[in-house]
Amino acid sequence: MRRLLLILTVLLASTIFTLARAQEAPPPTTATPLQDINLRQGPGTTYPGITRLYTTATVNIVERNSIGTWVRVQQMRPDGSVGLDGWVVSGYLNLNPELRFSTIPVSPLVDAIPERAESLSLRPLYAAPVISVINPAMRDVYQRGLEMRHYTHVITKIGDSVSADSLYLNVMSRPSANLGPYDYLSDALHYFAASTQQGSVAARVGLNTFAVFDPTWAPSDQCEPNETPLHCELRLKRPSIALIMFGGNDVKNFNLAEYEQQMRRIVEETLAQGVIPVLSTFSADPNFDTWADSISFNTRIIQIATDYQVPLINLWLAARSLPEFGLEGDGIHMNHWGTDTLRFDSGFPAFSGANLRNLLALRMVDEIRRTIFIDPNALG
Amino acid sequence: MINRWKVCLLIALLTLAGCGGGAATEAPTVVASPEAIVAPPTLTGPDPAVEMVMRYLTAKVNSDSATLAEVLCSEREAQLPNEVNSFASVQARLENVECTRVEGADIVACTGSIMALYDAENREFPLSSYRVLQEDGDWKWCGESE
Repeated sequence: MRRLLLILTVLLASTIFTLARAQEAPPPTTATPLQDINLRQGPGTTYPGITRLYTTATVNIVERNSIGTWVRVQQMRPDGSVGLDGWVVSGYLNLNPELRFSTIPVSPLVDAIPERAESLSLRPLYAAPVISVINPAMRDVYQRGLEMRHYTHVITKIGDSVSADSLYLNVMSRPSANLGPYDYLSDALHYFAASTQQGSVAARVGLNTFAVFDPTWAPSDQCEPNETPLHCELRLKRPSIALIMFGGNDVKNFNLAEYEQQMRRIVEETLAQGVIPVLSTFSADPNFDTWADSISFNTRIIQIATDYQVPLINLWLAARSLPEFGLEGDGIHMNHWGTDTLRFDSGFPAFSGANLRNLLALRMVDEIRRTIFIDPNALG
Repeated sequence: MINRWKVCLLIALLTLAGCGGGAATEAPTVVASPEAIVAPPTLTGPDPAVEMVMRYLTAKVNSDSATLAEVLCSEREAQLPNEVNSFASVQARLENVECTRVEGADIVACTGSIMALYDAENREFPLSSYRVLQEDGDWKWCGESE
């Protein structure tokens, strides 16, 4: 009897101790700003600012946008009532390593208020969501790809040096990839990662929307005589999805009509090959002389995506909240710190342009996988 | 006296012989590189098909629309915009280019490369073999040979 009492006492003490520790540890939704940041009324830079949130503040994450790049935070008063309430870029928060966005509710708020754009010409760019809704028409493309013996779990990239960089997409296959709070994307990462090990013969430094149709740019050790880089890449990899982005080179060398004609050709050829083309706007800096043209080119990309009902990543909009719009000093290439451009665990500066672009790519292929693929776990 | 004349004559004869002999032994070294004279200059001059391919390559790296329009065969006409613009985003130049006509075939084989400078880095595009054909009496470039 005495022994039983002793065991019960130890168990009780242990439970009380564990409970006490649990009460001491802050919940994983608690965060502090890494720097002084703007608190806004919604998840985007066109939403009005509320105030500055300083590094001394402790906030609680209560909602996120569909990606997780913006979170709604609340600062509580000592009496337990809500003090500050607004949206911040999640990359500017020191996130708890235990935080998982899969447990954070998704807000119905859209990514921007187009009516509050700096100019009328920018409205279409603010109106397009960062990750577009996937049109059911893409199921037909996917089916055609299956009939052509394409691989469901294979994705590839088409583009210029901004895409050729191994810090884009190829990092999905690296052991350093760490989604941190973006755990809801881990299935997609595991599903597609192996296919991103190799580069793409249709993503090359100096490539433009004309060169992608010139066999001279297709490496002769992998491609057939007279085969274009685009056709060669789709034949070699037989992917289900191609992430396509041109703009940085083209905006300097071609007019809008030429660019549009070539982009439409790229989309048509990709669709004909049974591959879902994912178009992307490109980031731009207002301080560069290509700014006005980049607006026209990006607006036209959105129009092309709408016309062909193909998925669109609005990188231009997502990058508005980043320092230097996520760009290096040349105004073309995505900036990055280090080579871990798909790492979002706590304490790592996650929001370089390269990190953001990888995150959006993964978010998009996850969306396509869940909405278009018949049975993503059974196929491939 | 006579002996002195004989000695002088002998010296003069030996000197002359020495000069003549020197000229005779140096003569072969003047043609020391016979291949430079014997071998044809890789047919670039005389063969119009080879000349046309050289014009094509030069026009391509210079985005020279007019020349490219002249040298593309009718089958390739639709590719003109791609041919004109594909190197527009880089600084391109030809390097170590030599082209020769493949005997008995309408093919011109080229060695060397297109060097493309972008962001302070050079990228190499090795040249290939090209199909050529005559249209209206002129040689035209008609794509890579299979």
